[in-house]
Amino acid sequence: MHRILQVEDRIKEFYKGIFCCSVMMFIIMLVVILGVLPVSAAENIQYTRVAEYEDYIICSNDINGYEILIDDKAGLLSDEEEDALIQYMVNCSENGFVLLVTENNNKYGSAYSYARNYYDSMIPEESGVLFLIDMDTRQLLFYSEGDYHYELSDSTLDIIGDNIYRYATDEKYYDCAKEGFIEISDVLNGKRIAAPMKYISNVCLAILLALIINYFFVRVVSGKNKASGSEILRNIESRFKFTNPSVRFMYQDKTYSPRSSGSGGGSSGGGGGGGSSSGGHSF
Amino acid sequence: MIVCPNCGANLKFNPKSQKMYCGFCESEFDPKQFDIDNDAEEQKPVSEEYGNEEAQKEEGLEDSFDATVFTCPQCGGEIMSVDENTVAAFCSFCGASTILSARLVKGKRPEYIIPFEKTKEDCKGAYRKVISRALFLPKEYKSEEYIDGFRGIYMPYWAYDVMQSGQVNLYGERSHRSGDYILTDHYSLTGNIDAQYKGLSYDAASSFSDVISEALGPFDISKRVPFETSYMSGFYADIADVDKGVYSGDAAAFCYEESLSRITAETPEFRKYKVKEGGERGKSYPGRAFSSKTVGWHESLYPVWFLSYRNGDRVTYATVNGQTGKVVADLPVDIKKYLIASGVMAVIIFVLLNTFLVLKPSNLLLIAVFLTAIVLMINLSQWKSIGNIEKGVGDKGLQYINRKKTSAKGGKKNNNTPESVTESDAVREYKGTAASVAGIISVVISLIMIFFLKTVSDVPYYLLTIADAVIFGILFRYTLLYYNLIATRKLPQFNRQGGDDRA
Repeated sequence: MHRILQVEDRIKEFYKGIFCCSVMMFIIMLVVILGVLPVSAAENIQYTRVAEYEDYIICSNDINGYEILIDDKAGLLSDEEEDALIQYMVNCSENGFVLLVTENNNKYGSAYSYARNYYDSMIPEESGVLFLIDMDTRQLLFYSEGDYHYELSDSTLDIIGDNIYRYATDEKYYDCAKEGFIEISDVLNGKRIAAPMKYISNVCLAILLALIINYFFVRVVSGKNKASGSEILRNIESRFKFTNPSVRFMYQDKTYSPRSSGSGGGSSGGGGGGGSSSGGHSF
Repeated sequence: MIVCPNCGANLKFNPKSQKMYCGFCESEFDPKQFDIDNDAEEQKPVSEEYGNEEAQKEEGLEDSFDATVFTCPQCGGEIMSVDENTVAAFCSFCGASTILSARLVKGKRPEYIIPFEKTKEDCKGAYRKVISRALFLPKEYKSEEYIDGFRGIYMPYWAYDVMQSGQVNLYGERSHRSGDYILTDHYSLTGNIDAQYKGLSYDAASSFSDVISEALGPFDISKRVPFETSYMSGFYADIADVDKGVYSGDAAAFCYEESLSRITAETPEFRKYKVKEGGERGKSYPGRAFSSKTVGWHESLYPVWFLSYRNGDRVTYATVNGQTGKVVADLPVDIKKYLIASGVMAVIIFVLLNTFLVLKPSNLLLIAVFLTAIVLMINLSQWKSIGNIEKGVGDKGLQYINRKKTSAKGGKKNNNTPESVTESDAVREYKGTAASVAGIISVVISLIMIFFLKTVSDVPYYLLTIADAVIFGILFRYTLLYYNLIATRKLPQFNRQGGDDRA
C-alpha cells in the first residue's frame, strides 16, 4: 500500500512538473507573440494602369516604376476583385516586381517549377515576388528572387502560406490573395507577422527535446562502464610471447558480386546571384 | 584486537602511512609485525607459483583467523571485523539503521590482501566530485551526514592465474575483386604461444554486484601483499560465498581475447589477413585455437569504500575503489529536479529554434512521432534491463548462490529471490504496457496520416501532434520511473547461515 501511495505521489509530482513547464512555456510564448503582432497596414502607394486584357492586368508603381501583374488564367477573381487587389500588390512593390498568377493547367507538374519558370520568363534577374494559386496541384506558392529573397525567406513564406490557406480551401481566393499581399507588405515594411503555430510547434518540440536530451545526459553521467581490457592488463602481471609464425595457403573461393552500375557522384551547380525563396501551402 | 605495544590502545591500519596507527599515543608500527592468529612460525610464505587446492592445503594456507561476524537482522547480510569492540550500527547491504547482531567465528584466511590506500576523506572527496555532475540526484544523496556513512570494507575476490602455451591454429582470409567476382584466399596461420596472465580478479561475494565490481576495478595486483589480519583493523570484510570455479571461464575467455588481439596486432606476418579462429574450411571453433588454462586461484581481499542508502523498499549503493579512488555509484533521479531542469532547457531550445525553424505541420508530426518512437525504444530496453537485473542475469555470483539455494530447497523456488513480483510491479507493468501500445498505435496513425492521407488542413496534423506529445509524456514518465528502478535495487535477502562456512 505504501509503495502504491509512493508511486502515486511520484505520478502527481510528474504531472505537476509537466503542468508547470507547460504554463511557463505558454507564458513565454504569449509574450513573444504579443510582442510581434502586426501593428498597422502600410500607407497606400499610387500606381498607373499600363495594360489590361481579359484576365491580365499590368500596372506600374508611380514612385519607382516597378510593375504589378495579375494573370488570372484560372479565372478565380472578378474584375472588381482584381482592381481591389492591385492596391495591396502595389504596396509590396517598393523594391521589386509583384505578380499574382492563377493557373488550372500546370504543365510543369509542380507549383514550384511553374512559379520559377513563369517568373524567369516575365522578369528574369529582377527582384520581385510571385504569388501562384495553382488549381491543378492545389497549391498556394510564393516565389521570391533578388532583394526580396533576403526579406522573404522560405520560412516566412511558409508562415504566410499557413496563415492564408484556409481562404483558398473555402474558395475565397480574393481574401486569400489580399491577406497574402498584406502580410508580404508587412514583412517588407519590417513588421512581424503572426505565426502562432510556429511558436506552438517550437514550444512542443522544445519540451520533448529537452526531456530526451536530459535523459541522455543522465545516462552518460550514471554509466557504469566495465574496465577496458588494456586497463585490466596494466594492473595484472602478464607476459606474452608468440614465436614461429607461419602462413600456409589452403584454398580460394569465388563469390559472384556484380559491380554496381550506378553513376559516380556529381554536384549540382550552386546558384549565383541573389538566389530565390519559396514557400506556401496546399489547399 | 591489535593493541599498541607502547600504551595498550587499539591500533588501526592507516591507509595514508600504510602503517598501524595508535590514536592514543600516536605511535606507528609495521602491520607485518602483528598477526593475532598466526604467529611467525605458523605463517607460511605464500607461493608465488601456480597452485591448486591441494598445494595450498599442503602449504598450510587453509588456516583461519578469529573474527566477529555482524549479521543484519533484516536482510541477513554479513560483514566481519577483527576488532572485538566494534559495534555495527547499520547494514551496508540493505541500509537498515539497526544494531547488527555479533558472534565470534573462525574466518578463512585469504591468501592476499590489497591494503586500503585511500582514506575516508579521499573517498568522500572522490564521491563528491562524481555527484557534482549528477544534476538530478536527490538532495539526500548530497548531505554530509549521508556521505559520512562510507564504510571501509575489504571485498573478497578470486584472483585467477591463466596460462597459454603450445601451438596456435588460426585461420586467415584475404579478399580481392576480379571482374564481377570476389576472390577470397584462405590461409592456415600457426605459431607457438607462451603467455601468462596472473591476478585476473572477479568478486567472490554474491552480495557485491558484478556490475559494480567490474566497473570498480581494476585493482593493481602488484600492490597485493600476503594476508595479515592487521590490515583489517579499523575496517570490515565481506564474506566470500562464491565458488572459485564460477569465474574461471571468464578469466580464460579474457586471456584468449587478449592473446588473439595481440597475435593479430603484433605479428607482422599475420597483419594483412583477417584473422579468425579455427583452421579448416570455413569452420570456426571458438576457444579451440589455443588452450587457455586456469592454473591458480587466489582468494584475496580488495579495499572498497561502501555506502548504501535505503528509500522505502529500494536501496542504492555508492562504492569507491579503496586503492585507486574510482567511484561507481547508483545515481537515481529526482523527478522534480529533472522536470525543472528540462523546463529551463526547453526555454533555451525554444529561443534557439525560433531563430531559424518554421516547421510544416506534417514535419512537426514526423518529429513528434520520431521522438515518441525513441522513448518507446528506451522503455523497451529498460524493461529488458529490469527483467535481467531482477533475474540476476549478468551477475554470475548471484546466479550461483540462487542455484545453490534452489537446490538446497529441493528445487523449489525461494520466495525471497528477486524473481518474485509484487502487486504494484504488476500494476506498473500493465500501465506501462498500455501506454506503449497507445504509443505504437499513435505512431502508426501518425505515419499513415503523413505518408498516405496527406490532408490539406493542418488541423489533423496538430491534433495528432498533441496526441503524440501526450503519449510521449505518459511514456516518458515510465522512462523516468524505470530509470529509477534500474538505478536502485530491491532490498537484498541473503539468508546466510553460519557466517564464513568455509572456515
